[in-house]
Amino acid sequence: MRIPILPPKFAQWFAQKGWELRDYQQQMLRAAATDQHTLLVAPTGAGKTLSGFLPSLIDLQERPLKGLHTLYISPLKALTQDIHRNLLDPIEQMQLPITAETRTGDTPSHKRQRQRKNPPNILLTTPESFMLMLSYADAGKLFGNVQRVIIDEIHSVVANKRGDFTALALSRLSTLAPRVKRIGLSATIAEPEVIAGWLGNTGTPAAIINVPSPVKPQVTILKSPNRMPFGGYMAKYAMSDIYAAIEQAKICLVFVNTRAQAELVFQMLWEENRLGLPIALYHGSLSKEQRRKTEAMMAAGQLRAIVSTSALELGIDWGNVDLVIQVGAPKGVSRLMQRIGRANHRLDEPSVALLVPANRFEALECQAAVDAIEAGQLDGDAPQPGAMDILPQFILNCACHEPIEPEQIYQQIIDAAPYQGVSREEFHKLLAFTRDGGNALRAYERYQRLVENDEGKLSPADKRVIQRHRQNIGTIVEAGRLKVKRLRRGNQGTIVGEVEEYFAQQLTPGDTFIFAGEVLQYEAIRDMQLHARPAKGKDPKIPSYVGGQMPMSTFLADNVKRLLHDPDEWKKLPEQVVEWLHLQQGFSQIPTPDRVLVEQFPYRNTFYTLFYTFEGRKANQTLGMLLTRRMEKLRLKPLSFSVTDYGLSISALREISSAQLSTLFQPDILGDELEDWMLQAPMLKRSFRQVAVVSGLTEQRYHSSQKTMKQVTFSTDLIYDTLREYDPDHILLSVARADAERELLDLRRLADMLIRYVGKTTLVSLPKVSPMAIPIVLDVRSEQVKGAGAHDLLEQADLYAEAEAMMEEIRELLSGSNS
Amino acid sequence: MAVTADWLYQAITNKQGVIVKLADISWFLHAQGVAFCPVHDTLLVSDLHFEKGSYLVQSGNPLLPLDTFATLQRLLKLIKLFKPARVVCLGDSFHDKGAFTRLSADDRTALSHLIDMVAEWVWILGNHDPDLPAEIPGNKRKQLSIGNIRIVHEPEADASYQMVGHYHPKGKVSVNRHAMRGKCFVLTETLLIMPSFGQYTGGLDVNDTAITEHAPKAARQCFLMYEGALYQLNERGRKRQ
Repeated sequence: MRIPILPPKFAQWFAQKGWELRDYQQQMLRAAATDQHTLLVAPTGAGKTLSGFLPSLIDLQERPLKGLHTLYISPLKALTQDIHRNLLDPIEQMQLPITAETRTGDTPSHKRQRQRKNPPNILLTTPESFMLMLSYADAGKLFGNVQRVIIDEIHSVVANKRGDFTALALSRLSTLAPRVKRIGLSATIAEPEVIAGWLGNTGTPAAIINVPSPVKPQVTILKSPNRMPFGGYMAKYAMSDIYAAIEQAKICLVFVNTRAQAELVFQMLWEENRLGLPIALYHGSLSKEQRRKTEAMMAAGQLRAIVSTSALELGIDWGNVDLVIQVGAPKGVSRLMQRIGRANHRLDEPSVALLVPANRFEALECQAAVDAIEAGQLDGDAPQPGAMDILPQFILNCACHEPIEPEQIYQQIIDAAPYQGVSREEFHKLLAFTRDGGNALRAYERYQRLVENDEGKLSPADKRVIQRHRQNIGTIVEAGRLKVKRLRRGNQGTIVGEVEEYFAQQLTPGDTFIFAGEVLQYEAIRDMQLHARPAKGKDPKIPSYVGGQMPMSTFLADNVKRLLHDPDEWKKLPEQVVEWLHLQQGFSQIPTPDRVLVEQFPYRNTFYTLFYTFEGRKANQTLGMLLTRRMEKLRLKPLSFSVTDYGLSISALREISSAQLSTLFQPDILGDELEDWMLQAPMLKRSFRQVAVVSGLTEQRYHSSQKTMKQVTFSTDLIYDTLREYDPDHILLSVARADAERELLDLRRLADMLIRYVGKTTLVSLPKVSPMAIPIVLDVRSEQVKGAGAHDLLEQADLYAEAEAMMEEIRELLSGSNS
Repeated sequence: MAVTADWLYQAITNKQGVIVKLADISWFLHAQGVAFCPVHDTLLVSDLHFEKGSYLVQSGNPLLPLDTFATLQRLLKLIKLFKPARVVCLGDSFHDKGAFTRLSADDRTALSHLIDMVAEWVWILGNHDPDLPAEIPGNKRKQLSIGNIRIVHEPEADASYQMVGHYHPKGKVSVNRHAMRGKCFVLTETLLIMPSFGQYTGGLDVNDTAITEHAPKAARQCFLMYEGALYQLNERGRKRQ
């Protein structure tokens, strides 16, 4: 095949930069000349993004045009800014006749208006903004000539709702712009075929260009002289070590797993900061202005360290970072690699990373990850069928653009790979729901969201429907958010970010909390804003964020289990961890691969039972709900359970005997208890809440008034109960159930485990919590069980008078009546 | 009246309700959210909000307006249980002005059937339904007296004793870090606030000032409806009578 030669202007520019066109960049150029969708898999630092844009830049240079030529879709708003900066370099330096702009939720409306009238050649945007633009009446004109769509960091959207949403938008784009080619850019992943399948149309996967990773990163686990705790997630013990590492490095990225951790680690580092090093904080709940400021300072090389959540984990290129510190368990090898890749953005030199486990259990996980990196293993998300609650949103989105013909929409849906299995029947049920709520049961004069025209096509009933839909586009149902206003004088102040409504509600005036790196004192909630001013306070609270918890990959859980079982491997672990394992061995047992260890001990006035399954969060979640159901039947009065990636802990009012344990841990719970549980689970109600918002049953926003999440929550629970009782076949109930199964459960893995371990449980009764159990029972997020246990608890707190004493009152009550 | 001493004893033992007194009249508060007075053979229910679902549907929510049907079904069960001579609906029975005309034919029949089951049916008017169409059977009144108790939708300053609706109280109790939530009855020496009964009705926290203004924490008892049982909230307030 003819090797495409760079146009002179480009060749010159490459030469000026001292670059050579790499092999895969040539491949990308060749691929651009074909009709195939293309997936580029390359390690960070390989110049992936430039090679994604290169064919577009060349094409636009040779054939300048007005209007949109290339769309770039990124999962992060911050990334669009960064890529935009990087893209302007070649455009300006080569003086190319190309316009490039960003368009996200933060873009001001006058700019959006202008972009719609006079679109740039290259538009950098997010999936949500992209979908919104597809709903415009002039979307056909806007997108009709699009040649290429680049999906960056594609590995982070496959196998989640955001990815499903993006897949639908891409499918729609292909009908508006028939020539459009999709280019996926991905970090190194375990199975590129999976993503290639996602990127292509149903049945025809994208072509793969795979760039191997030349050097393995150098990853070490921190061995601190300080005492490492048994539980907890904040790694306070290691702060002086982390600070010392920052001091030695040029520029350092400190990754944590949750926003709460980010706030706290940032605080603790500043307490250590004797030299006054410029250390900044970055997470998704800080205000746009704050984040921009930090990004700019980082780009200008003014910072020595940033404490960050996953918000900085993708793609942003800051060249000079020479050390990545991961505080807390890495949760997955691919994720860890992605983070480590932020250091030393050059292909031929190894990245350097330091892992800081927050407790001793996490040290096991860190070691398992290091072993996996050593062995070149990666984990990946298995593809799953698309989430159905997005379809009503998609149908309505299409109808806002132009009147729709249902069969055509159905074809577009099954063209998106995650939705290839959607049946016509399911589609029509969801279409009926989109039209009028899908009330099949009872004759009713209906309000229609979609009305049929003379040609049998459907369009929105009125402008209000369109307006409401556009205000509610997006799949990720966030917990309700309140803006945080930092007051200086009177009610004057600046917005510094957002907290979850749930957190705001537990504050009373005068409470202090840590936010955006300082201590604020809560005053009041006014107009959907939380007002607070800087203060000094003891014991400030830390905002927690629902969904901040990342599940560990099952692959890593397996490695942990193997590591535990082989005392020879323990040598690699920090001394304190080994000591902890010996403690566990002496006090209880070390879990073995061929049996499930079950510990039981009294704790907080109840009995805790701990199942060490190592099957991952989802399978443990499933097991938890099924076991508590059966425990309820055995009158053990379970109260709640909580899960980690390693195990499951159940608290109950009564103790479990070993005879009872063997009837509990049986594969038949999948049959008997599953249905039972599914119908009553609070978890399903939560799924329904999300489904209700995503599918448009209730809306989060209407006009500028934002419904508070509490209002939404309350009404969807009521709707759920009503549907369950009076219209159990309603499509949204089955969607909610599928959603719960998809997001929260792992039935297959659980079934495998139950069959494997029948009669292979070891029950150990202990006087108190074992060393290994500490991090698990300290996990605060628990799933409550409705049942006799809860009623018993209420009774304890209740002043309910003895019924006997009431007999007198009853007689008195009835005297004078004529029965 | 179908209520006997044995039945009541059983019900109280199973936590399906409690007996309270207001102005020397005993009321049986039931865990399904109604109050029954044996002496006056009267069943009290509040804030039915019929057709709230279809009201929301009008503004574009693809909701299933099954709420009226569901509310009627639940009320039917309770009327069959207590067999009262009189039913008093304590206001906001219809969610809005057009609610009655939006009732489906089936629901309309079911409602007339309910009204026919009892000797006397009283609609107390509320802020959502200040006038009711003449074609709705039953007495329509601003208020009613039972003994010294004024039965009225919203509390009035000049009443010595009163039973009201309007606020939709709900409460929460946390025991051993487990939180349980539900609708509530709120009782003081002079006032009983009924929980809302309508299927799609939400609630207002019992500690909201709108409620504490009439029923301060120190002077009230709250009875929480939780999964078919009734529990008294421990607010360290007024002792049981």
